[in-house]
Amino acid sequence: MSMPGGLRDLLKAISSSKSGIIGVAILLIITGVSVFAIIFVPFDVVSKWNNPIFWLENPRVAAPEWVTFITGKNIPSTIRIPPEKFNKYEYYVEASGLKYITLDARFDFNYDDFPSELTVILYANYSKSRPLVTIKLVRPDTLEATLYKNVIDNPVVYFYISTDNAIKENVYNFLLILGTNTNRTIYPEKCLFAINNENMGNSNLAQILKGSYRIKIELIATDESDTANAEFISYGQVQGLAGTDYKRHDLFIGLVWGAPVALAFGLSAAIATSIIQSFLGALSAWYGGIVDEIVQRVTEIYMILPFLPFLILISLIYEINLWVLIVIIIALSLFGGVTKTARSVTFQIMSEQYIEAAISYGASKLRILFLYIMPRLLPYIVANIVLAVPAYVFLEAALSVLGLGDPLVPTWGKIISDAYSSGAVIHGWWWWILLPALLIMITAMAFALIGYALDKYANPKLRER
Amino acid sequence: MLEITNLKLYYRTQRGIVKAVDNVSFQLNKGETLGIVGESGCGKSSTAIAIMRLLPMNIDCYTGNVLFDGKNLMELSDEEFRTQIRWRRISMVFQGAMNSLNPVLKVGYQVAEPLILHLEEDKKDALNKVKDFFKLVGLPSDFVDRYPHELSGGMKQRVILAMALILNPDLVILDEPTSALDVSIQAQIMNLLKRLKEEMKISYIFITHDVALASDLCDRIGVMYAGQLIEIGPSERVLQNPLHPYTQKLISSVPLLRGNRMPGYIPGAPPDLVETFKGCRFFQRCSYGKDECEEQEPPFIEVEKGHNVKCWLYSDQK
Repeated sequence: MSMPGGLRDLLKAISSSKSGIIGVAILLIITGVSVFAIIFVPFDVVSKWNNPIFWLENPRVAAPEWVTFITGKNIPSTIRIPPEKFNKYEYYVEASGLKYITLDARFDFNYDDFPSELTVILYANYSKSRPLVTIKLVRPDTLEATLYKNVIDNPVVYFYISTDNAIKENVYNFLLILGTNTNRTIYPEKCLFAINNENMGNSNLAQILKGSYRIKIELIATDESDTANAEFISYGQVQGLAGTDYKRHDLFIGLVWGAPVALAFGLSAAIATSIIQSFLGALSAWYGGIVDEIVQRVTEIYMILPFLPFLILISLIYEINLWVLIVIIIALSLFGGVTKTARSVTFQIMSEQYIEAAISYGASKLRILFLYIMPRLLPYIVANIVLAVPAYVFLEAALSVLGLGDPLVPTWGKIISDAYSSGAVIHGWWWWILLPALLIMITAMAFALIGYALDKYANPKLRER
Repeated sequence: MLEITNLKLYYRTQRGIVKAVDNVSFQLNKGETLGIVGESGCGKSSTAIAIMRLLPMNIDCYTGNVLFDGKNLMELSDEEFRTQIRWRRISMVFQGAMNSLNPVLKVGYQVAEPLILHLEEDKKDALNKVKDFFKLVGLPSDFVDRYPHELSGGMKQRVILAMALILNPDLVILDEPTSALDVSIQAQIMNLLKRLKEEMKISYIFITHDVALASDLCDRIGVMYAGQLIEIGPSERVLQNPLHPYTQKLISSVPLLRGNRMPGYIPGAPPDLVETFKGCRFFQRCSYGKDECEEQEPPFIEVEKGHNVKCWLYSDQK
């Protein structure tokens, strides 16, 4: 009936229908996740998401951890041996002036599958000349593979055992000595963890060798003060609640942070366009005459403006970030369908007696517009906002997929877009696509469900009073 | 105080021009109450609208003279009329009090709106003044914080009255102020109106279709039919000695509380105001119809002192 009544009726409409309650519940969960993300996962999204070093310890395209429950297979997760877990032996031989450093760590590998990658990070501290480094992997069957033997170039060295060509060569030699078939491409992370048989070099047929492995790093340095630390990472095939993508981003963080971004984007675009359009509709109806004519004609022009080509053009010329995108979207929907409906609703309100009373006691046109008409439009605006949010969440995703979104902020749409451009579908990296898509759908559904509950307000034809 | 001559208000519609108010003239003295009675669609409310100049968009003709304390209101611009006359000098209570309050505003604030708008008082002073007026119209002063939906119909009507009186106007136009109320509340509001009239020395123009109510409150009564004022005179004279055949039938159609008489009725229906009229507008339904009634518009004749009638029957008494 009135504004307090109106909003109360609005709440009643939501709480009295099942879809409204479900929608609100989902929305509360998403909002909870957003708040959780902001408070408990403090994270400088823009800079950290795009900093590859930050994600170095995550495996590439790992599935979510809960996949192990579904498949029943013990899929390897990431094993990280930090520097302090390495046993360190140092001795200095004065006669030769050489210092021998040995870093040694043990880890159990009892998974049913191979690690996805292996990396050794060496932090050496040398004063005069560069030390000679030997990296060895000792397997449960006591075989010892020398992975690297050379002087290092930098104090901090990343040994990418799976991709480094020199290391691959060493592994190839290791297999050669064992007498296995080496005609196929060598995948060090696989053959190093495979049972010693004729299939050891065949990545498709190799069987996993379970047991206790040792990583052994030996340095020969030239000064007594020289020292070194190491870190070993055996990347798994599962990671976190949502897996990782090709750039090792933890998708869980991306998805959790996508919630506030999606809500903020959808809500701000929806609120701004709904309020502006409704206001212009009310203005048009209330002032009438030339104002009405202009607003209505401009609305018609806006309604046939091609939205997407404009966006593509703008994003070609200017650098777009998320907030600029919102501004562009708002600017391209200042007038629209809501203007038309708000105008017709305003005609209804205008015919009410209290408006006439207000005119008669001398309220100015503007005052009546803001104090008497706009509050009555409020339930309608609210319903409209709710209905518009999913459209804008979808729009953001669609624009991201088209490459028109913000290239830096991890939105749900951006994650799907990355998955698409990395060929996630072909490789079967389902989590990279399905999880963000699911979240978009759930969010849109929450608003749509609330929207159905509010349909009576949104649709003047269904209004009962 | 108020002198209206030849007031015309025509509306333009798709069917043609509706002559809602056609050559209406009357005077109103200070402190006097004029009742305007007539059936639905006879132009009562349009007369009020014409005086208040609350014109809808589809106006075809709006002419005549409205002299208010010697000043012709028709010569004022809309803005002058809005700031000088409307609500300060002439205020109005609308038909259907239920809908005359903004559902979004607290009633106190809404009653204070004219004060804020016209006298530029600040909100707090205005609200204090509103509390006084609420007492005057018989409402608890803490009702200023209520919303319209928290009030009953009678209370809303009192709020509307307070709003109409807040700027101490000289004239209040009451457009069917009690039509949406039940009889007991109606009686309360009528008593309140009478009291306010005596206390504040206001003039009323009381528009109603209820002859009994008009007789209760009004010093003089004007009867309207098809956009014209057909009879005007002191209440007792009009009611006890109705001159115009329409007035006679109107009064005889009021049922009596005691006595066995069947209420009378008027055959036919009121004419469509889109038509052009040649003679008397009541001719088709009148039982005394003469030739001249059909041909020529009747003159407005003063039959007794202050009692005028627009009918050919009394042409010889001129």
